[in-house]
Amino acid sequence: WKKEEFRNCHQTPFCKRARSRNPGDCSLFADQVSISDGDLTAKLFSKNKTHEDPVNPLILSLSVYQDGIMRLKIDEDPTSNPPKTRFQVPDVVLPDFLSKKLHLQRLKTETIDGDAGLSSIVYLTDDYEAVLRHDPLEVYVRFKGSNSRVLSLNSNGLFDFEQLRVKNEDEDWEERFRSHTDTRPYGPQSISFDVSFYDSDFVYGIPEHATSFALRPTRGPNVEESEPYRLFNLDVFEYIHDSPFGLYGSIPFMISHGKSGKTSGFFWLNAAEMQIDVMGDGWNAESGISLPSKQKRIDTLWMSEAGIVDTFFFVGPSPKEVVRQYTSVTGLPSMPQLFATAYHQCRWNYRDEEDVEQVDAKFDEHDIPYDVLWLDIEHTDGKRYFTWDKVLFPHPEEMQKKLAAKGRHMVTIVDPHIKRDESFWLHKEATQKGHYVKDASGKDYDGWCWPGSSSYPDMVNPEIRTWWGDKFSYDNYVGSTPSLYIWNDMNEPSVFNGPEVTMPRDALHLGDFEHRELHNVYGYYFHMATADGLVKRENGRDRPFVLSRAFFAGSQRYGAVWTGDNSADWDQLRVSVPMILTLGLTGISFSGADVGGFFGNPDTELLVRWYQLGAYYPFFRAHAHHDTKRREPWLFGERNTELIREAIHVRYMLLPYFYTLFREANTTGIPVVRPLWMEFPSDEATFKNDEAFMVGNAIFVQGIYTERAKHSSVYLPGKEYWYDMRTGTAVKGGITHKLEVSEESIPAFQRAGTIIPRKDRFRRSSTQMVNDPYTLVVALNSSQAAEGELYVDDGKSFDFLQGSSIHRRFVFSKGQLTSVNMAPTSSGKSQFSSDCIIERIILLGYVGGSKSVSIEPVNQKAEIEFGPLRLKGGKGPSVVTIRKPGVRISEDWTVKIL
Amino acid sequence: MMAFVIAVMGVMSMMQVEQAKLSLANEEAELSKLKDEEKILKGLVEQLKERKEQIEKAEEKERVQKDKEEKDKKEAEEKAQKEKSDSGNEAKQENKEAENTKSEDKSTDSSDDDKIRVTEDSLSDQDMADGYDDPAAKAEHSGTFDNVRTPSNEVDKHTAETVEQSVSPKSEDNSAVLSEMGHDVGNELYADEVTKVGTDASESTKELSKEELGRLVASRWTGENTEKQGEDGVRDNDHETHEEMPEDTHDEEEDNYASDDDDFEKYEDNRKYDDTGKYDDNGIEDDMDIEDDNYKEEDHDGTSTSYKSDIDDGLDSSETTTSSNPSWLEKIQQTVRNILQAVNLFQTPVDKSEAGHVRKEYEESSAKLSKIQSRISSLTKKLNHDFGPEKEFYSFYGQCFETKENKYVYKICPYKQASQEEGHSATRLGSWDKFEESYRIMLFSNGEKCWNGPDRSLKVKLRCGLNNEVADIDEPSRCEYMALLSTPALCLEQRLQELQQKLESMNKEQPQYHDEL
Repeated sequence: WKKEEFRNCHQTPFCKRARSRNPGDCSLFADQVSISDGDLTAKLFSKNKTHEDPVNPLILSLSVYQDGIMRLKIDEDPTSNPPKTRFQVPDVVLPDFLSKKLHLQRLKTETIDGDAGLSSIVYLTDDYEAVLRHDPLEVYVRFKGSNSRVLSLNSNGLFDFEQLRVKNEDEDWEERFRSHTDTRPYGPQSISFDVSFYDSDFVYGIPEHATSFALRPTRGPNVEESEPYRLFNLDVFEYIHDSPFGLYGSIPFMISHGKSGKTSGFFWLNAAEMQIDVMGDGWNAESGISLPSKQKRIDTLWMSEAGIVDTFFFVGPSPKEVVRQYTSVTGLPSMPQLFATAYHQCRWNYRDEEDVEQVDAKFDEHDIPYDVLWLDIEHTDGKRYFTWDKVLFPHPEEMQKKLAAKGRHMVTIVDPHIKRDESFWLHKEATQKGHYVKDASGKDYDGWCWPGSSSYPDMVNPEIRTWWGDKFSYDNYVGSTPSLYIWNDMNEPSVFNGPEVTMPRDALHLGDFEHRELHNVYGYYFHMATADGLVKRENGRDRPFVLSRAFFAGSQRYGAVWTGDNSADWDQLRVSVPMILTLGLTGISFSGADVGGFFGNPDTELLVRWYQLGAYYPFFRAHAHHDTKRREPWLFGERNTELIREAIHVRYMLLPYFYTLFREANTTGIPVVRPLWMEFPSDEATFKNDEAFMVGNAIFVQGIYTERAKHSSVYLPGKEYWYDMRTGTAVKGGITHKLEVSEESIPAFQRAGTIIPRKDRFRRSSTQMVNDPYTLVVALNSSQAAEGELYVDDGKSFDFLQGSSIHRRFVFSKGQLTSVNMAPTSSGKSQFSSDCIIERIILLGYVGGSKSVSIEPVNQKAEIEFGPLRLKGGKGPSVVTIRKPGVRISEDWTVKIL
Repeated sequence: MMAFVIAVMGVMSMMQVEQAKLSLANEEAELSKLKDEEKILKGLVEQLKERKEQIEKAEEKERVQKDKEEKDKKEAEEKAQKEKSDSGNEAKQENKEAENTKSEDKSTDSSDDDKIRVTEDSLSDQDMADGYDDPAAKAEHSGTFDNVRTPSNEVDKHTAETVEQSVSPKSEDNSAVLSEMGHDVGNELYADEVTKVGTDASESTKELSKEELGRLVASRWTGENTEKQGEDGVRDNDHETHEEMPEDTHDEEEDNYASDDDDFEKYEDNRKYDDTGKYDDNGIEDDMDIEDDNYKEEDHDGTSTSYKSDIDDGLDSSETTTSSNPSWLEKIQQTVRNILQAVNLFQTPVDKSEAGHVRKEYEESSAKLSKIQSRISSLTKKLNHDFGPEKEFYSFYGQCFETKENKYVYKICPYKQASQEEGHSATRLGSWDKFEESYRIMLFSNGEKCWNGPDRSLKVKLRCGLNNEVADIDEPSRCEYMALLSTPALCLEQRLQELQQKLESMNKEQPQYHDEL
């Protein structure tokens, strides 16, 4: 990490200014409060007439949406003729969401807490109200008819809005950093304000940072002074494992959680550079401001270089509801194809067709399944994307077809920098059509990246996105086949000779908006354009798969992201968990870290541990830098091959469960991998725990993050038992166990009261397992009951949107297991069906001595015996098993223990 | 058919093995014989040497005697002249005294310099890359830099600046002369300068053009010097410089290069210079200098060839030696005996022709001895090698295998080294290390260091084949090469193992999950 290459807050004038403000500095008050077009609107005026404060009034509008969402916007008044329109981020808020607006009709006014002025109150839900306090300006959400608050803005009076204005003659607006000069033609235009979260013990979210899951205070009397959390998409070389520094993506969404078990969330839709301070207790003790509420709260300070105030308040009150509310604004995670949820093999670079063939063959030879083989930048002809190196990859189609014959897929990389080479068709076309981002002088911006001198398509422009998407057609992308999918890297965008390794802030996009106003959303648009291109390639029949490094709020709609260029060390294995948890909490369910670590050579133990943990990442891919040694799973001796094979097998075994969870995320926004407190909201011991996580509601996983570990302290939440996934042994919940650790696995437990669907046979790839029979693992709770779900569809097309799928709910109670249909009746032409049967039902924690079951409605019998917990390995522990019930997954049935 | 081929190959390899064993036995016999001869010859040479020295002593004595006579004669002449020039002597005396004081000054001076240098060293250890410690040396050799650094002007400029800045405090030191006070000031000044230089250096990216900055950042990820052209240029020049420069300056030059700050360490491939140095050293050690093109050029029809390496290891020099004709030693012995008896040591003057005879015989004998000794050492070296349990790799010794893959020619010389050549430049992939995996792999290690990576190495997998033939050179991980060498030497064992594997896999193919449900 090259610290000096990046600006810190002190070197960033808007951040420095905002941080130096004192509580109560804001002198704005609201006037002309009214209801108009279903919104609460007001004008904000300043009491001071110094040039620091807005000269012209600002426009405030507050709208209310279904399910407890409040939106607050503050912008310049267009009637006062500001020199320029400020950028509002389009294409992130779902059109659907806008239709959920509740048109406000009535405005209630009150005098609260002996204020001199009034407060205006509007309806939010049956339980919550939104309040606009006129003077001093404050906006908050409270429980109906009480003084108990949920979220508030400007309670500490730190709000500041730098209005656009004409430059005075004596002013110098330029900013210099290292060798770069930012012309800043429009001058200062930053915005900052404080947000308070009530009944809150911790705040989470605002990825992407390599740091703890529960965000640490960055300012305060007992806090070691630190940089604020920075949101600025950057390509950081060898990032360090514990820093508030900004990485590849930005999601300005923060979630709070506390002892009450309640959760709330705050989202600022703004794509300029943002910096966020989390204040420690007593940070404003000297200011004399005391909030009327006695509730425990966490204050935060939000600062952005440009844009407008466009904020969303989510009332929760449960963690899952907050995520649901947030994804109802920014979109649900897309449903991946089945293959994408399996194991991916990547390296910079598999060098040629022969290398690809050999790696592929070795997986078969070593009995290790994998689904996708990846090609990095070297597969292209001189880093011209959409081309192939003719010497190394003379027969790309044949190569892909060979993989496809085994049910495997290929992914190639396509980055946004286009080589400035007159003979490259893509560059020629982009130049002729004027599709490139412009520099401050209006010429095509020319930056340096992999191919050397490069330009960047202006992805903010919808026409250019369409043009870009067309490049993925089989005609345009010569050598591509239907089994080829795409990887978007470097889309922050990364510019090797740009300021902070990115594009200059005064570069110009569509509508003459400056790069500074929309920097964080560039990668999002690029991801979107690529994913849309893949959909178009197959006329909307095939679900796209696009992995992106940069992301923004809403990226979950377009595909997976990964945590970028990590390093092969134990700390980075450890930090991958909070990073992935944070992404999941902020909507991006489909994420993972490079297994093994991108930079450097992992020692064998670390690699094995990484596979064991990575098998539970939503996105499970091994990747390595080209300077590193080869590290395919079979290169570390027989024993380690076996360990890695076992880790990958665990993933393949659990694929039906994972796929079901991806569908859950796709319908509710609730992530595949969850923090413990999302499942156990009132278990305080889980709030700071970021070494363990839940996969769905049923599996607890904790990595091993140290060398030669003999023991691991594992806190299992809740009151119920947990069953060891390897041995079936029951362990009590609610306490910290000192577990013995072997090299064979990391701690993983199934929660009592859950049912997990599995497929225990291993083949070359997930797509070859489609017709395999299922095993149900029923982990009974203290009342001998359990529940679980199974979702199945064709794994590929969009037919599931028309109901072409199987969705079952399994309920075990009172000695019988029932399969209930959950799927809506199909409205489409094609009905999805499956002949798959259930070959085993394992009962964990079953008490009773019965020897047989009867199966309704077919009126058959099956036996209860002891059998292995897992099919492979033979000598495993014995568990109570209903053998060969033979029931179909697509049908209703009941298995009764006699 | 296949079985037949394998059988033939098996027979072939067995024949080779027998041959190898025979040759080895011969060489071992030769070695022990040579050792006997060496012993005898050593004795003779000793005797001749002794006699030669006696003769020389006698001659010396004769000479001294002569000299003395002449001197006496001269002194007598000088004495006559001396009385005339008494006054001149005094002036000379004074001169001498003055010179003494001057040299004392000098010594104080230099010891001070030493002290300062120690401080500088510690400073540089803390703050900077190694080798920043000798600005004076840097200044002296800055001229050489300019020769070496070729394409990236900015980098040159930077270096030049560093040189300037580090020179100035040094001269200040000197002028502050010798008082304790002056010393401290000097050091402090230097410390300041060092910090300043450091900062300047770290900010010197500022001076890069946008394009160069792009390359610089890119090179972090790729681990390559993106400016290929430049790298080559530098490398070539570097070689030339090496040849022109005396050893010691060369060392200092290396130090200077290592002194660049972090940013540049990554950008400008400093280690390369170290590498080259190392590689030269190794070259000398191994008797193999790639640059000198030690391989005998032959007509290569195919892409893969093998040939005898023309390495001067004394093994193939049929000219010497000795083994063919047993009587030569006796002859010498006889001659020496005659000489020793014939020469009369106490005869004065020394008999010129006898003395010449002894000298000539001594020279010839010791030449013979050193030839025998070098033959012994190369044979010992050879016989110390591991030729495999059946000596099946004996024939690899002194052979090289070559193959062309794209633009590169790969040369693999077992027991010596392996290299990758492109045009006139060669990269050493490794020196012979050992066999691995029970003689299925030849390992060449400690090759030229990769930028930002490991030392290069090559593993040559051996497999049974009709001819010695290299194929499939590959670089699966960066700078770790892999090649396949077909050789009859491996055929017997290979066949056996194949059969065994087949058996095992047949056993394995039993159904695995038949009814575990």
